[in-house]
Amino acid sequence: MAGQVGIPTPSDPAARALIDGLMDHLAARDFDADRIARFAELCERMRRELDLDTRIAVADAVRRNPPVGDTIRVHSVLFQLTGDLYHYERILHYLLFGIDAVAPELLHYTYWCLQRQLFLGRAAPEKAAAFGPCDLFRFYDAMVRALARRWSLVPPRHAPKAGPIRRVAVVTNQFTGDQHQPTRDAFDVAARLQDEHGLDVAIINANLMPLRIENLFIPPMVVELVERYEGVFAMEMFGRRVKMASFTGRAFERAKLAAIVGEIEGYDPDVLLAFGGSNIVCDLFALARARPVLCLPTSSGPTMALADILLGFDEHDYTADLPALYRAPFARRFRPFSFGYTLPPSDGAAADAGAGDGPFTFAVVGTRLDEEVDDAFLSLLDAVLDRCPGAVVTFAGPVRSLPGRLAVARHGGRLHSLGHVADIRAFYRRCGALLNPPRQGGGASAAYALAEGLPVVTFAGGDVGSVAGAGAHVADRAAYVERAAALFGDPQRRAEQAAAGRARYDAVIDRRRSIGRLLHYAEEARALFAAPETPR
Amino acid sequence: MNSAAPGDAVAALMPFLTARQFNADTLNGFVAVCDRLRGELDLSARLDVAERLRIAPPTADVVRLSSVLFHLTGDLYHYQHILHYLHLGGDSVPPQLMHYVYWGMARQLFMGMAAPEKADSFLVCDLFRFYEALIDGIAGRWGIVPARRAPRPGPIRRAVVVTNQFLGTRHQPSRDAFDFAHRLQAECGVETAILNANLMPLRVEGLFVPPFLGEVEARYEGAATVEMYGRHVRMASFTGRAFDAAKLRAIVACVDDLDPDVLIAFGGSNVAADLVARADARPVVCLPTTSGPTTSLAHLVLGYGDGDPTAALPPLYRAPFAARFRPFNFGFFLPPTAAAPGDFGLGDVPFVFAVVGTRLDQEVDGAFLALLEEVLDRCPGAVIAFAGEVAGLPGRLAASRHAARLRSLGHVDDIRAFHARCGAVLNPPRQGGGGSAAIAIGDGVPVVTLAAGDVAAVVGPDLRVADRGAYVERAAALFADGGLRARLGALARRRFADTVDRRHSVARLLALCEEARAMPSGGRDLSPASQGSQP
Repeated sequence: MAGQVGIPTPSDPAARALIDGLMDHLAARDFDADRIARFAELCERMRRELDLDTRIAVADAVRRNPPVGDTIRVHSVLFQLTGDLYHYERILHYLLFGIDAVAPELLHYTYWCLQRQLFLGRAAPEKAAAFGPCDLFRFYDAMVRALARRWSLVPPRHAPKAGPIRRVAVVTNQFTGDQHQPTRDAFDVAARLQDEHGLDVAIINANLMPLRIENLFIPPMVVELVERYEGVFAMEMFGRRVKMASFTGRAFERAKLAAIVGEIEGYDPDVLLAFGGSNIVCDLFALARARPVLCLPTSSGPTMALADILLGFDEHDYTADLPALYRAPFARRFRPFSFGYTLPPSDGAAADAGAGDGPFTFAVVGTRLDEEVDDAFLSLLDAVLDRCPGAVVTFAGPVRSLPGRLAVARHGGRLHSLGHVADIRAFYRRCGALLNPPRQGGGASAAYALAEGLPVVTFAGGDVGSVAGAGAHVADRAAYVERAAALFGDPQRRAEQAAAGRARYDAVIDRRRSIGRLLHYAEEARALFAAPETPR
Repeated sequence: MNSAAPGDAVAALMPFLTARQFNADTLNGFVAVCDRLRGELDLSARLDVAERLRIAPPTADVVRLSSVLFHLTGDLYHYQHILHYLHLGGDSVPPQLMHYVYWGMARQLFMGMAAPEKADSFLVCDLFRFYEALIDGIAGRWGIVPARRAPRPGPIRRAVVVTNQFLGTRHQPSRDAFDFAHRLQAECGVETAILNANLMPLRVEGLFVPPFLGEVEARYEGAATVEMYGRHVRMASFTGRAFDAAKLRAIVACVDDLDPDVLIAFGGSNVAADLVARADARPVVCLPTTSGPTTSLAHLVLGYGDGDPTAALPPLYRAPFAARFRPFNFGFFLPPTAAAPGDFGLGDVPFVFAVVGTRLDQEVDGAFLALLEEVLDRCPGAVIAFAGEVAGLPGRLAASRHAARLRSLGHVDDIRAFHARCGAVLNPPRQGGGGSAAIAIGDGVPVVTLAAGDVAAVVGPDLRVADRGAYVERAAALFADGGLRARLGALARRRFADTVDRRHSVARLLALCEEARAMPSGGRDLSPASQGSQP
């Protein structure tokens, strides 16, 4: 797009072509899912192939002279190029100004797209400390209020019944089956409440993450939906059964939300357990103070929830580290907790994970490795392999683009991607250590590693840092390489670390230990709910 | 804290938040209610009030509501809300409203009203980007794009110092603008004029709370020669109170008439100079009048004191500041003074601490008064004298447990004669006040200051203290120990002579102007051929 005012024109023709392509997409009128995918892919390539100064220069020029008035499209792209949260702040304020006019499905879709990028660690640090607890939380709160107001979703208040909790609704945003970690966790928590504590439990599978594209937010987000889980039925997993009500409509619309709220009303639970944050259905109940709500986050850090009580993902009180001005709404509802995990069944024997009998194998495990194994992490792995002659790194998890990038790495021949691995514990039994990429998610991968005696190498942040504990943390890249090399070179050290990991799993991580405490907090939520209204 | 308080506060604000008609009195009443609530409610109650009003806004007037919520809490989220609102309004937002809101916010930041949570990036990201949009909006929508001039060959012969406010001898920044212009003329032989643009807000353009209006001296209107301390500089003044296209067009035309080789933007947020810089019409050098990052679009942006404020900026937002920054020392000069110390009604008081400033009503807040009381606890018989125009301060001093030893003198004409009567200067925690400290150390009066702001930049590392405890210790030691007072006084005098005295700054300023002129920036055609063809 030669001649566009102020748009940089680098001398490198490849860079120029990327920028021209970007300007085309920014100004284009007709989009289908395919063009959106190409748009997102182009942004991803720009992020990888252009240096930060060039990306900032492009973003400055587009910001000052946007080729189109589509705030969502322009600013989601500029964030993609730079990680600058200024652009997400612009989007959120834009939606707030239209909170009574913008179609609710756009509020919801945009919120999730944006939140996903934060989860993937795409934000630069400059505004990150305040963004979650201030900007994002205030938007989320305003969005739930707008849904309640505009769609008249205000469930009536129910006085608590006498006696202990007898009936619990576990409300989840996504339930896709036994190969999906959060699904296993939601089911496990529900089954344990039912089987170990004798409660009447129902899973409400709301499917309230985006199920279709609603605007030109880049990159788009559409999550998996299992169509056959529709209506009310008994869900079976690993030999246990819990009843489930599932709502599979792809549209985020009033009818769907009203049906879910109505189902819960009909079930009449003593308490709602919000499985994971951003749980709109539970938060409609919490906002109306209709029933007690307890939120069980599935990830570490500030949780977007309006629940009466907000549990920790681990014992550490993260709210103490929040900026003082934004701390109160989190701090007063926070309670220390440990999410915990339950081991999935595994074949007793070690399966052949493709690593053969020979080399020492480092494992890298995740369901989003295409994003998480970026160039910075690949170069870290190269540095690890430099120090560990003969060792290999094996990646477990569904991927598309990763194998191509592994092939061109310096140690390409020692990096193997297996794709999805059904029996992860069997795979672990063939490995020597787990290398965690810098990321927010992945907690279960570490939990199973601890249980299988596989030492973990991780930075302190994120879910794996929470699960693996301080003994597995390293401070920087050099320490990461050191710890990996020590685990490779020193069998004694590896054995000690394996024993410590097993002990941690048994004492802290095993979910057997957390369900009684969860129920105790549910009773506390009920007591808070029964008390006269306190400012939220 | 009474739990009804937030509800009562909301009720007190409501008539002002929903009023349709405003005049100066109702606006003052509005500000008074906000100030009262800020004083009476603790932070958590004020956050509660802000939360209620944010969730259920009683008005669609975003500027009014969100500026009040900031005023109550210091939460920059509310300023961000306003800025994005104005950005999103695009061409429907008049530039004079953008300009008015910009200055309202800049003033509150200068006064230190922002909580730290979002402060690192607000000025250099949010406010700077808004300022860019303001300049682009004026250029694009009012069509004010100064024509490009190719540089004349040879050294700089003509300079224009563009200032936002020129009030005369009693006003420190006016003295400084005049002094720089005069020195360029007298010491460097550069023909120099002052352009007194008066481009701070001069009338209310919206319900930003609190309002901010600059002062203007109507008698300077038009072209004149101004005199200060027996020296003369030419000055062109634009005193119209409206911020509009006609005024800016006249200012830009005036620049073309004066046809300088370089523009010196005296102070940041210099709309007139930045319109010239944005159009790349002439080289522009910005000379900040305060420490910290400077909002400017000039080709070069100079330092104020020691150090490089751009080094500490968040990396994502550093580049536009760092690339244009050049180390520089603003410097000060000592104004003329009477031969003898004055009395100032202090009689035979044995030891006087001075507190000096032009905004003491705001700067001497409850926290600083408590600090001064601690100082007096430690210094029997000492008195603290406040020099500078005030309205509310004397009443607040009267309520202090040391009221008899806290004396407000109002404006003092001969500040050096006042300093000569004082044993030490106590600086409030504040951004401004650099001139007061410079004059004190020039005369060998020790200054006590925390490590932030202009005064800290001026006095240098030796006179700074780390915290409140050290502040009281230092003041008490200066009171009790004549030897220490003499040693720190000598140190202060040396700091002025070696570093702060403006003698050192002017040749460097001229060299930096030449550097700006030589920059191959933007589309300014610097080829020898085009220089040769210039008449």
